[in-house]
Amino acid sequence: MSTEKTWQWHVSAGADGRVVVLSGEIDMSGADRLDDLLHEMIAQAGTVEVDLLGLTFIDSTVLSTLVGAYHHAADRGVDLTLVNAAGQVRRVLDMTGIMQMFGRVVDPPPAAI
Amino acid sequence: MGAGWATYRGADEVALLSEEITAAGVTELRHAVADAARSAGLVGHGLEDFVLAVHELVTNVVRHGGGSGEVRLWQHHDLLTCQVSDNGPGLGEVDVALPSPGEVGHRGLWLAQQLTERLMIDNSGQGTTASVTARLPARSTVNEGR
Repeated sequence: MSTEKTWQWHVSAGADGRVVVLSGEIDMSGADRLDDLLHEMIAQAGTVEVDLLGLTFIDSTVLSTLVGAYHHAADRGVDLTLVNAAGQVRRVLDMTGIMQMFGRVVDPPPAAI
Repeated sequence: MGAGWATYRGADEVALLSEEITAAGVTELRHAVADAARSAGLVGHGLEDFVLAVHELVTNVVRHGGGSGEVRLWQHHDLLTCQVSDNGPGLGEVDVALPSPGEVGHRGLWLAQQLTERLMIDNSGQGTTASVTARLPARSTVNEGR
């Protein structure tokens, strides 16, 4: 049985930036795909914003993916940020210190368009 | 089976769920646990926390515990306990400390402990048995099971 699709993503591309909008529930069955997606974005742009507003569930494997992507981006001088984390997602990112590692984000994020 | 939970297996313990763990069924199982815990009276953050804690134990079974196992959920008065067991090689050294933010991995058990009243791990026998317990909020009228 293939795993049921429980999350979606879409990307908006600017001149040198990408905004990745995630929604749904991501667990270990989606962590690898998310990892691929973030690596693609980091290879393509100088700034990558990951919008977590529509995300309602993440687990420790997703935390690992985000931390891995953080290091991957930092190695390449890419600015990777997390925005709009809410609910369970925000609490888990906060309690593990990962949100702080990514840097303080303004809630809601500044309208930089 | 550890002595810790064997002591409060009693007549007033209500079985709520019993499911097999499979790699492909992790998400479905999480939803089933959420539904059962909600029906038992867990709400809001408490529900989210308990569901994530159980999910982390299930994820461990799939990734490190031989890939298959069993989940059992029961209620005993105002305590909701979920036991996750496998026949895998065992966790070896069990470390539930929080890794630094930059470290990849090793947050599952810490989350399970942090998000519940109690995390118990027993790998003294064959495989590993882990359980998490949450306290149900007081209900206004009903007092079930008495």
